[in-house]
Amino acid sequence: MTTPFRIQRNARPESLLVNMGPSHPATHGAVRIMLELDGERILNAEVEVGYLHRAFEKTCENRTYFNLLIYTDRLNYVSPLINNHGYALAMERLLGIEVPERARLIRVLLCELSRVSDHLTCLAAMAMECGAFTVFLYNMKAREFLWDVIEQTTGARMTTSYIRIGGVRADVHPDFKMAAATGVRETRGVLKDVHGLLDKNKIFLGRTRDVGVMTPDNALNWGWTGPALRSTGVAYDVRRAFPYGDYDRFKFEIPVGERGDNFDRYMVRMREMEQSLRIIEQVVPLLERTSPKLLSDGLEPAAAVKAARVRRPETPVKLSPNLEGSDRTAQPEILSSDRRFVIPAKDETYTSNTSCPATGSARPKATFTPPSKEGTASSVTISSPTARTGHTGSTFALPACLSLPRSRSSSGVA
Amino acid sequence: MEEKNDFLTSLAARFPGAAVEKSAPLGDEMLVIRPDDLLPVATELKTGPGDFVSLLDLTCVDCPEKAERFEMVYHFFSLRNKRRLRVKFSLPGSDPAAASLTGLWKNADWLEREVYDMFGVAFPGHPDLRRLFMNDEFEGHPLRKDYPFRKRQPIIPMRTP
Repeated sequence: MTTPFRIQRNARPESLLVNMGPSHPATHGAVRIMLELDGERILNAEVEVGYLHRAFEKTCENRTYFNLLIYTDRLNYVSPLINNHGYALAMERLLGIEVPERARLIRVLLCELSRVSDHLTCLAAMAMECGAFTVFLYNMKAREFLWDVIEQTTGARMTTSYIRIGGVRADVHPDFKMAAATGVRETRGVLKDVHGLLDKNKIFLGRTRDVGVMTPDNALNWGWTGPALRSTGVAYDVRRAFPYGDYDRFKFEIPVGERGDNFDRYMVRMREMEQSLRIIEQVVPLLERTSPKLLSDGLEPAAAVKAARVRRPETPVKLSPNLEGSDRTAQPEILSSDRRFVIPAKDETYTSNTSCPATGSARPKATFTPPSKEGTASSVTISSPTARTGHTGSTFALPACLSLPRSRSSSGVA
Repeated sequence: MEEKNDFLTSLAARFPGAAVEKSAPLGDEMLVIRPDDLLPVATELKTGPGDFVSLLDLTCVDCPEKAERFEMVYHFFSLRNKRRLRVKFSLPGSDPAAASLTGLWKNADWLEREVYDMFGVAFPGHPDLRRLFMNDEFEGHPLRKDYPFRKRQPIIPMRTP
């Protein structure tokens, strides 16, 4: 039925092919790995990663630049602030916005807190996979202290949406300094404990030393970056090479590994957390000496946006979904004066008309005409063969997220 | 900085149709080339004085209004020169194809599979050009602008009551 995988075609006749996943307890998420084994030795592996594809790009294409900020939280829920930051930086560069100093410092601070919590989570899972459950619990404990600091200021543990285009959403909490000091102190203690538990642990060393070795040349050729690249001995850190935000103002070292094995990747992350805590300690005193401005003055809003603040506009607001400026109307229901629209049948939302053989052509196509006050012909045709009568004819106000994209002729009838 | 620019302009001069664009507020340097020149230009970028050891990203943009509908975007990184470069070219809407860079950078393998999956751009020379994310039975290319936002293609049909 399906074409054979490369690993199937190239398998040696004496080796054993084993399928792992897509739903395997050792994988944190759905991923399928096909393994070619010789005894307990893995000769070859092929990974199928599509099970977790969420189509962020497609979703974001259909949102405004401001709206899609919340999606960046979900890219990596352990360090949402760094993802907010990356997106905000890209937008600021495109718009040519200068961010106030205080906002830049708060960003650095929260990004470093996120980096530490991210590394803690990564190493927690790594240690747990090697059987060291204590390390997992210790790291989670430290992460909670850091997330307390983040929650206090941003109002959320994970989906923060705190770093905005042009600055940050609000100032840091009045108790921020004390909470940050507690977080740093507790994390330092945990790092010390973890070093003691793992660094000379024979079981941990046996499972990480000289396992998964990568040479610097290969790492670069594969496009590796971040701590994984540094573990091979390449001292490249984007914060140093292309400083963004205010990173060029702070002193920190770039820890590198020597052998590029799993143990070096563990050690680089451990050392990097110490450097992040160092940066945090440098930022906090600076923060008190900055002016309280948090958001850049921004741009003049488009005429349509201005008008919408006074009264609901008659014509749908045009959104530009890409930088090409190809204007098309997106979500006309949001600001249109027409409040009547129909929530599509559930089957229409989750399936398509063409590719659902079990239900195809079994039922007649349904046409629904919502009640029209002025008696104008304002019909919405939903051509789902499986639309159930429970959904028919009823009119709802928003939510717009459930509305069916439909032709211009059927919307905007006042 | 002068020397760096010299390298790029001399590279552009050797390939007709290539042009260096530097959009100053947007940062990174950009090289616009003809699609046929991709492989020689990429080889030169990697082995020449530019020393672009890493392919940071390889992606595609769909601009359905344009005659040359697909715009391929490559991001290269040079560790020694601490430099990033963006290379772009356009492809027609029917049977778009670009040379595969898998022989030069290993991560081009999956990146090209992703672009093939999401945009339907073919990469002649790729060792195993299959869909990366979607299943084999999937019809169409989801990141093309004309693919409906809410269209679903369930492998197992939705249950009806």
